[in-house]
Amino acid sequence: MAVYYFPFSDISNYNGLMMIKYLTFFALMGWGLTSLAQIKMNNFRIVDAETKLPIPYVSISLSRANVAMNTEQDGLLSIPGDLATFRDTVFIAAQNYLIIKAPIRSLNGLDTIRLRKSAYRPPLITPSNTGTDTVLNKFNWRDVCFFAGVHTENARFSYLQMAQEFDVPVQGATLKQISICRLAHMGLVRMSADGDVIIMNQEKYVQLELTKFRLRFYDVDPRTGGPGRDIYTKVVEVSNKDDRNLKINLKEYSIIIPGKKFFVAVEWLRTFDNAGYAEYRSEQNLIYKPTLGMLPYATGKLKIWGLTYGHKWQPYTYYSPDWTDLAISATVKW
Amino acid sequence: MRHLIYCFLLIIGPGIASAQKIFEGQVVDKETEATVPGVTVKLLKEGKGTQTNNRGYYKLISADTIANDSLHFTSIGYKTLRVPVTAYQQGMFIELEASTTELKGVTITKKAPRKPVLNKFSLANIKEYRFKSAYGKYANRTWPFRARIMVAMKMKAKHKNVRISSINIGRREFDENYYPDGQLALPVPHTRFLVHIMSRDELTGLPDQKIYTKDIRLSDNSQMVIIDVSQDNWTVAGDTFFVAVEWLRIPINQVLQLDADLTVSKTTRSGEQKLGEAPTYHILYQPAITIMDTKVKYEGYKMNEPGIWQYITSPLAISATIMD
Repeated sequence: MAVYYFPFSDISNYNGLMMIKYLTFFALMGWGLTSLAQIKMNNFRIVDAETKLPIPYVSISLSRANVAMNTEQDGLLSIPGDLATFRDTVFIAAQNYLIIKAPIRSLNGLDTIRLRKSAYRPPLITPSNTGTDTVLNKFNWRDVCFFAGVHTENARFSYLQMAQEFDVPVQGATLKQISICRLAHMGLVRMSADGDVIIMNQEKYVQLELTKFRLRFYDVDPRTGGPGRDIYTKVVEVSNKDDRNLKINLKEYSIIIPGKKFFVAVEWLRTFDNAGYAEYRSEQNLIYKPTLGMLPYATGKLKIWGLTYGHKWQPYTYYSPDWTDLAISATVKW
Repeated sequence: MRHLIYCFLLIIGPGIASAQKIFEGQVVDKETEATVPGVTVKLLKEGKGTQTNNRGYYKLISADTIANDSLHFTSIGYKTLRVPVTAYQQGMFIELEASTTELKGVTITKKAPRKPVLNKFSLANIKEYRFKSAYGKYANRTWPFRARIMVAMKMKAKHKNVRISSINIGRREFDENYYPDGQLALPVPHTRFLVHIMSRDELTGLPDQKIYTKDIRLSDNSQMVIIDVSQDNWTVAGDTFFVAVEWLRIPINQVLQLDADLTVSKTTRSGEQKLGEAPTYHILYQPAITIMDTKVKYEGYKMNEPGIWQYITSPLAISATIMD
């Protein structure tokens, strides 16, 4: 087992993840690492414009450099380098706040970034109540063997969120449960020729498979056919340590679907516990859990959308035309 | 009383969950080892059933396996075989024996004519067999093989103008070789690859030109893949040729393998480094060809860089059946 010592971890008191984040920014923005000691650090606190309280897990992405990171719980963000010389557009986004889209050089000299609350609230819908339950995009988790969320030699995985499209028979259905299949090996059962049952339950796999993410719910954007506005404004955060097939009970949230089409998205939190590497241990190859399962069935219509670092929803075509859906099912009552 | 019921459920709960089981494998003719399609497979007591596909492969998910249940395999022309679920092993081959019909003193036996097989291998050579090693870890008698671009195995017939009838390939999953501490990869049934017949360069002895090509797509966990080319008129002028497998580095062939490495997760104010484990996902490309459990050596070449062949002697499970 290789021990990786982060080369610059002794020069500051920042934790490893923050350093990794700095380096990711550097590496992808084309800066030399050798001059790190002389590099200016731009430290920001991202806060609510009204309450002045820090906002956790704010997504910060650069569209041209194709990099993204999060604030931690404390709302802190550090960007290395002379921002005045950068030529890129920064997107600063958090649920229920207006997105900031600005030249990154406009952050030069700031120490606080204030996000204003979005005035948008989903319309109040009368829930349909015929007493019928339906599972949309039903799947058998045992069939899931392909996953989205890892850089490959074919393409980099550069999405902030990934959404599955659902069609529901009526307006006003209530979302009761979401099931998500992700890559996890805990509990995997094998059998030896001697008849011994071998179960993957080693402690190390628990640590490797810890994940925390957010669920987002959208209506349809009539212009693109992709995800549009949030249909639910409360934060739904999911933590899990070892389940391959996650069942998330949403009864307590009373999420009403306004139309006949909606989207359920996973928003990645770029935290240390979620971090992993694709193929080679390098800052450019950082990825974040959960890796989402793909359904190995083709339905003829691609129903997966990804939110790019430039905050545009795009159809996720990586597995096209073979696979068309994420392993996310939704139980609705109508 | 309610608490007692909860306790009871907690105790028996895991037992109920573990009763769910997947039975899968391939059904083959006991004598010829050819895969048998259309075999009815049934869990007798549970009542669940399915049929083998054109590669003799079946998959049966039992919701609640009954301990003394048995799998029944029935097919016209074969004797019915009963396998107790307790005797079932993951990925085992089910060997059906041809039935004999006696008709007024005439005995009719279903028997396929024998054809010469080059680089022949048997089911026993490719059968996955996990065992506990002397170190107390689980190992497998076969190994997975993959090349970056291609592998070509040399075939030599007894005569020239060889007509190829079928190509047999042993295939397995990219699982870890040692349980449970090794790298982990889920079995992925889907794969697409190319099979070529290649000529031999007379000067170098290396694989030369691609003469015939077939695009193969699989969507099951069959370990024995028989590619029937008897209708394709694949004829080679000389007595020596290569059977090659070409990997396609496309998304459908990707298998994620989980590994763990220690990394510095935190540096304290005093400079002490805290280590934490982070997952690393390697990407492997299917198919995994079986390196057989045999001491026989075959001549072959692998290509990891375009145009550069490297000599190998691994006993890869690739054979060619030819017309006599």
